[in-house]
Amino acid sequence: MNLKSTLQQLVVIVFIAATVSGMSYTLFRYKLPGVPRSLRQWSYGMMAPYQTYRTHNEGLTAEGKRADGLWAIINMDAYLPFIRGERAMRSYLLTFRAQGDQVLDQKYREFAHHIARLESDRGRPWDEIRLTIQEWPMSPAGYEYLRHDPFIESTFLVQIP
Amino acid sequence: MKQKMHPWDSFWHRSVPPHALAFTRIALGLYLLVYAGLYLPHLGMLFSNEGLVMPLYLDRFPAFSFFLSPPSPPVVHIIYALYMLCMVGITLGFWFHLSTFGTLLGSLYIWQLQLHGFATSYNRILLLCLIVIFFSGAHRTFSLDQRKRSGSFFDWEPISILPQRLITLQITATFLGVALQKLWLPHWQSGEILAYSYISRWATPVARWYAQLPLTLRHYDSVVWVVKILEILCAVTIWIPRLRIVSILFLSSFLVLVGVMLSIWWFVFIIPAFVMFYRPEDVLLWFHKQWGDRISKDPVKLTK
Repeated sequence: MNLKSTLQQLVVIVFIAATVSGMSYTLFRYKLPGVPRSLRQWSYGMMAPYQTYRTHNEGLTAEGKRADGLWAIINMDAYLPFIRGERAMRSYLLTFRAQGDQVLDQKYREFAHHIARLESDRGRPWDEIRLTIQEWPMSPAGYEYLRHDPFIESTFLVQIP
Repeated sequence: MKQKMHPWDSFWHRSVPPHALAFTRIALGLYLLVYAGLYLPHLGMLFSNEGLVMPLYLDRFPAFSFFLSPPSPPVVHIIYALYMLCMVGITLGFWFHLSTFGTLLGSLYIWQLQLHGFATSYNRILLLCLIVIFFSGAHRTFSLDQRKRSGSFFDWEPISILPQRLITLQITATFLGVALQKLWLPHWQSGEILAYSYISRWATPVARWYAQLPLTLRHYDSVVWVVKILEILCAVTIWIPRLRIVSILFLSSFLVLVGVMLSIWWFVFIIPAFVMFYRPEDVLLWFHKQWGDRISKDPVKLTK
């Protein structure tokens, strides 16, 4: 057996091990012994979309404090040019969330500073900026149909400066 | 005399015509061009130091800040132009290895740069396909590289079936895993998940229209169960020649509907790859039948 053939056999074995391990974890949360975690998670990640769902809407909201002391919603459409679902997923900062609360808090602060800079560049300087996660009920009438008081619940994230 | 191959080797390692894989390569290249093209109007905002960019690895590896920091808008445009040029290379089979490597590298680069990239199922499958295709010989026909090599875009040389098997088995595993787990995942035991999804942030106008129809929860229950069962069945029957086309039609419709109803359109790159479930020898014969002698039944003989 030459080197190429050996490598090909190895690829097959690794692929089968990763797939069987990914499948057993997907279906039974059973971790096949001997298969590295990274391989299992990679394979699991290709089989695991859409396991759960929400019964409410939620979205990251940025608000700016005006000179008169009132808070106004900042339109972030130009800064997050994604379709609605993808925009929401990205605004969870999942890759930083996985690193713990401290990193997540620091990254949302960084996010807020970016918004402050972008708004200032567009001639809209704000005295303060705060980020919250807003939740509101779903409605067949439209995504934002019930996004108003008294239906909104806000969870504070960060405020700058 | 031709030696009979062991079934294991015949399944994983035999030499086959490259047409099914080359067709997939072209479709993948076009898909990547469309996907990357959608970001073109927003390059500065998404990838440059003047946008909303939070690189993933910059804090962890400050020594590599030159590579990991977001570049200026003009540099982003240059990098992105090269990135898309690599996708053109994949599509045309031109400098194929360099083009595929460039696309892989570019994808990873913008992924770590881009705002909080999240490694979704389709991202992972796409990356796997790119890695597999790099080693596959998918440019051994329908490519400018082949034209340079033997004089014709349509000449072909045999390749190993292994890459084709890896991709098709991954597709099977994905459909099986996704559907089987839904048989007992708590949230998938009724149609409620579908009813809510059709009014969620992922819902398209078509889904919202559908959600406003006077349908009971029992209707959504039925749809969920039919999809779960057919998804499992088709993931298996796609390997059975007599049932293959029906399975492909169902799975393709399913992927298109996921895009049309829930705006999750990225999985459609799997549809052209279904051609790889056919025997590569049959795919060659099909192309030969369509295009006549332009596509030879025999591989090209290279003089050196």
